[in-house]
This record gives sequence, structure tokens and C-alpha cells, in this order.
Amino acid sequence: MAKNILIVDDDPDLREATEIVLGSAGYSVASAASAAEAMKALQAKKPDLILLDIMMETDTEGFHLAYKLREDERFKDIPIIVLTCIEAKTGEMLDPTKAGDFLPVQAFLRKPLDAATLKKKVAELVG
Amino acid sequence: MSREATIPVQHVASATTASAAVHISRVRWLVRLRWIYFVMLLGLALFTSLSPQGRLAWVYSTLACTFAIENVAFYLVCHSAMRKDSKAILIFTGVELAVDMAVIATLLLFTGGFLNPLVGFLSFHAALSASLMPRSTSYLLCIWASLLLLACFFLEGLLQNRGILSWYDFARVEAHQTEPLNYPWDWMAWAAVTALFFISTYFTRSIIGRLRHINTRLTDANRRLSALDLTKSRFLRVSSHQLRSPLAAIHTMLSAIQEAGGFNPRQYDIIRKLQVRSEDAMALVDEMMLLSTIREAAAETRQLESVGVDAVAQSEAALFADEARSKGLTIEVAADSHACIQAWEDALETVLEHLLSNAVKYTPAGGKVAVVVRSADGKVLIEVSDTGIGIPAQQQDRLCHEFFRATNARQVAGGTGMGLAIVHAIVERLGGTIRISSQENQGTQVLVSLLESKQAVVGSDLSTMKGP
Repeated sequence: MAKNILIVDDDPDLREATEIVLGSAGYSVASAASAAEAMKALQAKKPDLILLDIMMETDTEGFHLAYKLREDERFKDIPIIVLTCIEAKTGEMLDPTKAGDFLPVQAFLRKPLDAATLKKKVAELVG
Repeated sequence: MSREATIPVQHVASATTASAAVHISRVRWLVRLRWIYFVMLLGLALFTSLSPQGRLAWVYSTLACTFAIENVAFYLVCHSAMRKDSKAILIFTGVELAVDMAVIATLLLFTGGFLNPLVGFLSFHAALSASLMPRSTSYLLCIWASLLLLACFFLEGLLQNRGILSWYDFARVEAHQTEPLNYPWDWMAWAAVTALFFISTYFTRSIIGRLRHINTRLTDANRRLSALDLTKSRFLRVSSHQLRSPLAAIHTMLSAIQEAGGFNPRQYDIIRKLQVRSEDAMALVDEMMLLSTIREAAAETRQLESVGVDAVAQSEAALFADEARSKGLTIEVAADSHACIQAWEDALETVLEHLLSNAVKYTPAGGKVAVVVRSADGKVLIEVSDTGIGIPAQQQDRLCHEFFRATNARQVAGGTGMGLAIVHAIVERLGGTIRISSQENQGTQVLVSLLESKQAVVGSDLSTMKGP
């Protein structure tokens, strides 16, 4: 059975490109353009993995969603890969070896997404 | 509740304290001048004591001590609660200026009076008061100086005529007699000197007032320019971020297309070229964001730390080891293990990364890249040199300009033209200097000089904040 992946990103082109890449690898991909849409999608169908953009309508929307999911018994065990180019706005880069201390996610991927890297990271987390 | 805007008490107090501090700083050079008077008068007293007119030595000594007492009083005021009270400082300074004039007038009384060229010092002090005191006070001091001169003029003849005081002419060192203020010339001379006091005060006030006004305008203009520069940097950074998002999307979509497959070789080639161009554009955007971030940081107060240069140099050189090996280049690092600078670790990494990147990129196969780190005279000198293509002499003055690439560099490899601009911005932010020397087809040496830190490095964790 195909694994379900939810991508949360406000960039429609990036959502579409990611759907193509992961779809070609045999995953079932749903997408949401905001944290609110993501919660609705989660309620409808629990995914096996979430690809989460940090800066959407607000600079911290992704952060808040990640913490919210970790505090929700229904969703706290879903692995999350953060998609980030946060340094573009703040000048600060997320250090993947340290950011886990304050952002409870499983992995970080820096945009632009490389198809091979994305598939490899997803496979590591969900198979 | 009153609708009037009120300034919080602490802000008023701060403004008053700042004004008092400014006034004290202006008076300090007058204090130094009084010490010079003190030394000169003591020398005069010593000289006079050895001459036939030794009786005057006590006069000069007394006057010298008066100047010294004034300066000691000033130091005491500077270390008392009064130092924060601008009005009290002004009153104190006005009194000291009046005493200075009285001392000079007393000196004139015993050294030839009005004929003594030292009367010019009274005029000098009148002008001095114009630069230090409010307008009304400075003109009051002019009147005081004029009255002192009149008193000196009057006493000069009176005391001498009554035999109370012997007369010693400063110029001829002889006793002589004169009749005070009996001639129209005497009154005219006094009036002329008085006019000189007021004229010099007026012109001094005018000039200093204009200079201070210009200084204020320049300070305001500088503040506005700094704010504009900061706005520009922020705009550049935010714009760059906005540009990066669609570029990232383009790159990802191209990657998706490539994954989807089903293209002929020619089409794959075009897709690959599109990816390369989008990567180049993103690299340029990243460099622009970095440069604007550095410039924005210049307006903020980020705490510097003590950074060991050797470890960072070794680490950055290791990053380029594979690329250098593939080109047949050697990278050598010779660093003083104790050299530490006041910086941020990621800033130093960025500097070395860009310098090494240029050195490796523009050095042909078989060449050499060297990093030398040493300490000298409170500075740490970091030299990155190569045996590369060098830079044409007529283009070397533009090396640190944004987007500039030398003509010979364009023929060898791609680049954003931002590397040295970023290095220059960081070095400048850290209070250092950068010097580049190069000869075409022989190589380039970049010498960065940064302030040495005497503190031990706390934690040599080189994990950077460079994302995946």
C-alpha cells in the first residue's frame, strides 16, 4: 500500500513539483497551502509523513504548526521533514545538528529541493 | 489627565547630563592651557628671583599658584555630583574665566601695564569665553575684562605715584613714573582695546556658532544616510528572499521534469542548462542576501567573541581539499595556533571560504594556494595567496565592488562577483583592513588584518550554521 505524504507549502509550483517527484516514486501525495488547510487535511486522512515549509503566510507559521502537531496525541508520531530557506529572510541558517533542540522534527531540507535527495530522505523515514 | 506631551524625567536628566559632559570636554583644553601658564609663570618667577628685580618673583609665583588652584578646583568639580549639572558647570566655568582675566590683569599691572603686549591675552580670553559661555555671559566677561584693564591702568600710576608700589617695566626692567589716565590717548587706547574685546567675542561667537550649526547638520545628514543605507540593505535582503522563492520553485520543477523522464538527449541537455542557470541565479541571490545581512548587522550591536583562527583556517581549507586535488593544486596552511581574533566564527568562516574559493578557482592545474596566519603588534594577519591568473593592474581598484569580475576571471570560471565585496564588508564590520596585491599570470595575495583577542577561545566547536 502506498505511503501517504502531506506537503504543506504556500508555493503552488513547489507543491506540484514535489507531487510529481514523490508520485513517480510511488507515494500518494496530498497538499495544503497553509497551516489551517493542513489541519483539515490531517483530520480527513492521517499521513505517514509531512513535508513542512516554515515561512508561509507568516514567518513562523511552519514552526507553530510543528509544535501544534507535537502536542496533539493524534499526530505527534507523524515524522516531519522541514523545508527551509529561512536564512533568506533572517540571515540565520538552521543548523540541522542543533535545530532539533528547539524544533521537534526529524529532518531539514534546504530549498531548492533536489529530487534524488528528497526521495532518499523520504524513503529513510517512511520506507 | 493632561493632554500635553511630557518628557519623562529620566530623559530630561539624561539630556542635562549629556550637556554637562559636552561642556566639561570643551573646558578641558582650557585646563591644559592654564597648566602651560602655570609652568611659564613659575619659570618667570625663578628667573626674576635671580635678577635684581627679585621682589616680583612672589607676584609671579602667586599668580602661577592661582592657575593651579583653578585647575585643581576643576578636577574636583569633575568628580563631584556637580558634574551632571550643566548650569552649575557653566557658572563654575564663568567664574574661572573671570579669575583668569583678573590674574592676567594683575600680571599686566606689574609688567608694564597697557604697554605690555600681554594685554593681547586678555583679548584672547575674551574670545575664549565666547566659545564656552552663553552669549550674555560672554559679553559680561568682556565688560569685566575692560573694567580690569581700566583698574590696572588706574592703579598703575596711583600706586607708583604714592610710592606704595615700585614700577617695573616689563620691557626695560627699569623703574619709571607716569600719570594715570591724564591724556586723551590713554582713554582712546582703553576704548580701542575694549572694542577689540567685544569685536573678537562677536566674531568668535559667529564663527563657532556657524561651525556648530554645520556640525549639527552634518551629524543629522550622516544619521539620515545611515538610516537610508540600512533601509536599502533591508530592502535588498527582503527582495532577494522574494526572488529566491520562485527560483527555488523553478529548480525543483526542473528536477521533477528530469525525474519524469522521456526526453531525448538534447532535451535533457536543455533541462540541465536551465538547472545550472537557476542555480547560478540562486547563488547570486544568496550572496546578495549575505552582503545585505552583513551591512544590516553593522547597525546592530552583536557581541563579538574570541575566535581561534588556526582551527577555522584548517577547517575551511579541508572543504576545498577535494576540489584542489582534482585540479592538481596544493593547499597549505601555516597558522599560529595561538592567534585569536575578536570576531564571530561564522563571519571568519565566510571570509576564508570566499578567499579560498577564489584562490582555488583561479589557479590553474599544478599551482599552489597558501594560507598563512600570524600575530603582530596586536593584530592577526591572515594571508591567502595563490599562483593563479592574477588580476589586471588597471582593474585592481574595483575588486571589492559588488558584481565586479576581472576580465581574465570571466574567461576562466563563472562567479557572482560578490565574494570580495562580502569579504570586504565583513572585515570592515570587524574593524579590520584588507589589502590585495596581484600580478597578472603570477598570482594574488590577499592580506586581512584583524584585531587580536587576548582572551582564550571558549569552545572550539566548529559546527557551523550552514544548513544541509
